[in-house]
Amino acid sequence: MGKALLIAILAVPALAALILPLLRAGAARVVAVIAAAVTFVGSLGLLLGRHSGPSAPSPLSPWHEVDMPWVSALRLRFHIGIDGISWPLVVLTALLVLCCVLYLVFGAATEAADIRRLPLLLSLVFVLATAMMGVFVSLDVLLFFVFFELTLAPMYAVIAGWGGPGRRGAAMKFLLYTGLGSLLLAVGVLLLVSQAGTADLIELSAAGGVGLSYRIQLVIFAFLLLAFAIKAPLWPLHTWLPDAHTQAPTVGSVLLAGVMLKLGTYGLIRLTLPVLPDAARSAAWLIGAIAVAAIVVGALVCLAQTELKRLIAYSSVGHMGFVLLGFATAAAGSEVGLQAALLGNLAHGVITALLFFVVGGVSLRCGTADLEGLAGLVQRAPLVAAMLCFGAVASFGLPGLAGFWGEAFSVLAAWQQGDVWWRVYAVVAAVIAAFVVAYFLRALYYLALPPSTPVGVFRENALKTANFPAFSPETPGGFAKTSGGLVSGELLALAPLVVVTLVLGVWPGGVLALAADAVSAITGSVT
Amino acid sequence: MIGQIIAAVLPGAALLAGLVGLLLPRDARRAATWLALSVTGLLALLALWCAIDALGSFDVIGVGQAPIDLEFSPATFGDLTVTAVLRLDGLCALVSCLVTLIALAVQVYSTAHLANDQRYVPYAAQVTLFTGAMLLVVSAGDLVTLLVGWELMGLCSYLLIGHDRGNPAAPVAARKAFIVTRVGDIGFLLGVVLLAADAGSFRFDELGAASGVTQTAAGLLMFAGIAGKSAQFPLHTWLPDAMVGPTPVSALIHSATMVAAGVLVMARLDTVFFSADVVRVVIACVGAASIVLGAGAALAADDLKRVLAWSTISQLGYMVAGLAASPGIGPPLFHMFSHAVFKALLFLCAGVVIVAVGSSAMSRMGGLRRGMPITAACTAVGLGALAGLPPLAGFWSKGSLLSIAGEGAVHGGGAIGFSSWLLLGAGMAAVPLTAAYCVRVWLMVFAGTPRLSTNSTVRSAPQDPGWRILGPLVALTIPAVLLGRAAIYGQLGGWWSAAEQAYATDLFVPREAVTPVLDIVLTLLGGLGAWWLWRRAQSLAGATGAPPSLDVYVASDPARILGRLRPALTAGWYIDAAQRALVVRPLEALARAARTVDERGIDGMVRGIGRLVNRAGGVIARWHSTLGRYVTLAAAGAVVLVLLTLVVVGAQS
Repeated sequence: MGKALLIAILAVPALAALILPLLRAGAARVVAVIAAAVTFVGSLGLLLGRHSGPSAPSPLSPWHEVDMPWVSALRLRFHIGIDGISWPLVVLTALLVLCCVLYLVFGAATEAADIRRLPLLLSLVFVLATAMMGVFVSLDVLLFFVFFELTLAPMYAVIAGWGGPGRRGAAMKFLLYTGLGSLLLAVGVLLLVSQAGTADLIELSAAGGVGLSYRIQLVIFAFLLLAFAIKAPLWPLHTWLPDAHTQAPTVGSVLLAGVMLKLGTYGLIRLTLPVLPDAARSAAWLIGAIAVAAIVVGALVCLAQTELKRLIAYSSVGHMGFVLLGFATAAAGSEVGLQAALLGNLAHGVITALLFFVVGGVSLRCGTADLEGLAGLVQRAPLVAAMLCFGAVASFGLPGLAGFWGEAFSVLAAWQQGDVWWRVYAVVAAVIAAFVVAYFLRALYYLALPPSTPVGVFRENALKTANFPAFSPETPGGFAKTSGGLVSGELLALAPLVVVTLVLGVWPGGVLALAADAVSAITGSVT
Repeated sequence: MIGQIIAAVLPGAALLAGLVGLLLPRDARRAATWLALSVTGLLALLALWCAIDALGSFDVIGVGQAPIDLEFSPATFGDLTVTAVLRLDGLCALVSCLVTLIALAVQVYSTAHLANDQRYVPYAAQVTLFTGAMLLVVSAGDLVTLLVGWELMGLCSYLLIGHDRGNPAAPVAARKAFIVTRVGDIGFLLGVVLLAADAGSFRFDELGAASGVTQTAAGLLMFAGIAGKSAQFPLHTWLPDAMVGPTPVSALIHSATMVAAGVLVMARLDTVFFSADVVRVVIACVGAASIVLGAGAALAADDLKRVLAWSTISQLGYMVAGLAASPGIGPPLFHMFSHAVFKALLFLCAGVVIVAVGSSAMSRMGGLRRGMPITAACTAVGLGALAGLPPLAGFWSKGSLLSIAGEGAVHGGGAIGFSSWLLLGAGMAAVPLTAAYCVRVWLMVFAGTPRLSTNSTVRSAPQDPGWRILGPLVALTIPAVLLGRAAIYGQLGGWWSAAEQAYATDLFVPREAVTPVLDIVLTLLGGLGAWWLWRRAQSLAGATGAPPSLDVYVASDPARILGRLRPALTAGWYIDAAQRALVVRPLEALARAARTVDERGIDGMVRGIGRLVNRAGGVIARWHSTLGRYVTLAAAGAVVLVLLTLVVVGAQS
């Protein structure tokens, strides 16, 4: 049962991706919704039948596992499995894909301004789903690399094919930047495999660096760190992100921020910590310093940012900084830090996806995401503004919502390290964590200005290609008069994300309990 | 069991009702009203029952015997378990009672005050949520639950202050309120982290395990958060601006929620805050500074609501400095109760007056006692209590603080003695100022000859409003009169036994009977002085026989005695301007610089490298397409990879 589900969550989206381009828009919608729903249910089903954990906790002991030879000449095996660290991310991916499909099918389909290209976009979403879930379930580093690589081309196509006016440059930057990352990853992975003599992640994690000299570990670690840092993105390797987010269509931004950045942090946690523990330990302070720099720069740039999508992109830089701060403390042996990183990762995925769903709709209807052009949004589309406010509040870490735990506890983990430098990191991170509220309130302030403030002219073309209930000419600024300015697709996409944000906020322990054994084993291997 | 259910229901029901209310459609006015009123009313009854149970001997719930804890563990981080504790004890029961009763008064009042407001439905829900957040702070038994309620309250105050969509000042003030309190919360959050990391627990009753140094550091850090929420110097600047919010919201923020939260948390965590002398002294200094600067600015302000806002800062200063000076939490908490009652009353009265006149500037009011006698009487009681006129509530509560400070100054010694001297000095200095601005408010608003409003939207002469507004006013007037005596006989659960035993004195008839006498004398001096200044100008104007004009009113304002000091006081001692110049502006400049460096510098470098690569790539220009370039990169990478592998493997062998 577990094995079948494991294969199904990769096979169903892959099949859907193959079939969809052959269908007409109508049929494609039905197929896409069914495939996404099946994948999501399947990913939830993986929770069933898991063993209660081995007697001695190991860094990687999958609940379910499929292992078969693939390309024997390259010693490449199709070895996949799932455990408490990867499962939440698989579910997050499946959930966001489902939300994206619902968003495209029931609402903003005309974002592409061309309904005939909808099946193609849906297909690309499913390719991305397959690749990203593949990364999370890979138990073979070569397979991990293959899936990691597979995410690039479809995301490039989504940005270049459906993006905003500056899409070509943004897509190119994305491809070259992350392509470079893949290259570094390839080098790191091949070095690792050639030196360790195996590509099996379970063996590699269990060995805990035994058989790899400290120097080799450092070299491999440097390659992997750079590769994953570009993906995460860790400042100062982040400049592809704002452009990609600003230009990508809504679903592109959602999947990019919600899942793709997590490939980087997941890779760090899975591939470097247990596999190269000595290198990780000695680099911990450096990663911590860079993470804190990212937190500071992200917040400051956001405070001077005038465009909403760029603002959220830069806030992602800051939030991922917190995740990496947690990771850095984990590399120094902190269990709390690793748990904070896992939670921060998940929370950022959910909350940023929510924000991008809202902002995508806003910028489409108003023709701009410039803050000054959005004055009066609160009056014209109260529910849109309310969702934006909720997302902002969750994002700046209101205690009791999902964003709080990861940030507060990465600060706590850094403080617990006891060293002066770690304490400096903790204090700086805490100051910024509280300060983040300033830039979100600054953004919301513009939206709350009275509507008499000049409003940006919304796109006339978008109105004409109206297969989108919100785009009827009599609704001011392109917002639907009913349901506070949201269309059903947006409501369907946003509602589950709001619920998950609340649940993760009130009861983060559920997710942590699943990963508890793996977390203590991983940090145990570092110390 | 029943106690635990109540512990969950008190904050839970209000929070849930608030969330449900937010989901109601905009035109569901009736449903929103009923939801808000019924939930707040039922919670008030429940809290009353708990309070009676705690004070009396009816141990149905058992609040009086021992604290009742309801626990839930949201997560375990490493070996640090986060335990959310809702604690129902005597303090929780009494403060819940205060919170829910004032919230009920505010909700009833709001149904009439916001009768023509398009956004009443979300407003009512937000007020309920606000109440729930305060109740969560009140019943929190651990730092995480406290943080949740604490920040949720900040968020609600942000939403409520920014309620008025037509006023461009509202979003500015709302943002300022949230950010300034959040600046204090930097310290609060860090303090929580320090305490939890050292004590290994978030529970209040296990924080004692933290080392003395940690407690001192955490006390200082967390006090920054207290200063933000309780509007103490120098983080008080949000409070006067927050007056653009609806008046009933001001009543709530200034009485039983928000500002009271800071004082309450200090009382709850007194072992952390007052474990070290240095923290005690810092807190006393901040409190004393707030007492004086608040009273001074209140004397100068022309806006009725701003006068009340400054007076809140001053009165909260009494409580904060009182906590530092008092060996027990009784006297400051007593003042918190009586202040909550009379300040809520005063704001609700101010709301009536402002609606009637169409302006909140006192220079546009006057003579209103004829048209609205009930409002005038209620305001007089509220102002009397604020000034500390016997036998009103404020006299007893402020008196108990001053007498404990008097005893401490003479017999305390050490940090307590120093704090007591500070409180005694600042408190006594502010007593005549307080009396003067109270008299000034009453004279400027209600006394004199009636004047026609300059606001054309108000057609009829000002009148007392309907029962939905007068009801809450009268209901609050009763405790503003009686709370002092009731507290003395009730002894409020023996709260001040600690303070009284420390100096072997009766708080209300202290050994050194100097303080009550001095208090009364200074009050009369300040009040009569203000009256004399006003009277003299009025009789001068009356002698000329001219009709009352704005000039006469400005000329008869007792605040004229401030002379050249007045602009400085009106501008809040220029603290706002200083904060803008020293903090906000530099930060904005830094942010712009960071953006430029990031977009031009780092990204510029990346693009530069890109161009270089492109130029170099001209050699292999056969691959024009994007994917071609990608393949090129991959191929180049493969070469690098092979070389590196060779080098590394070679180095190994």
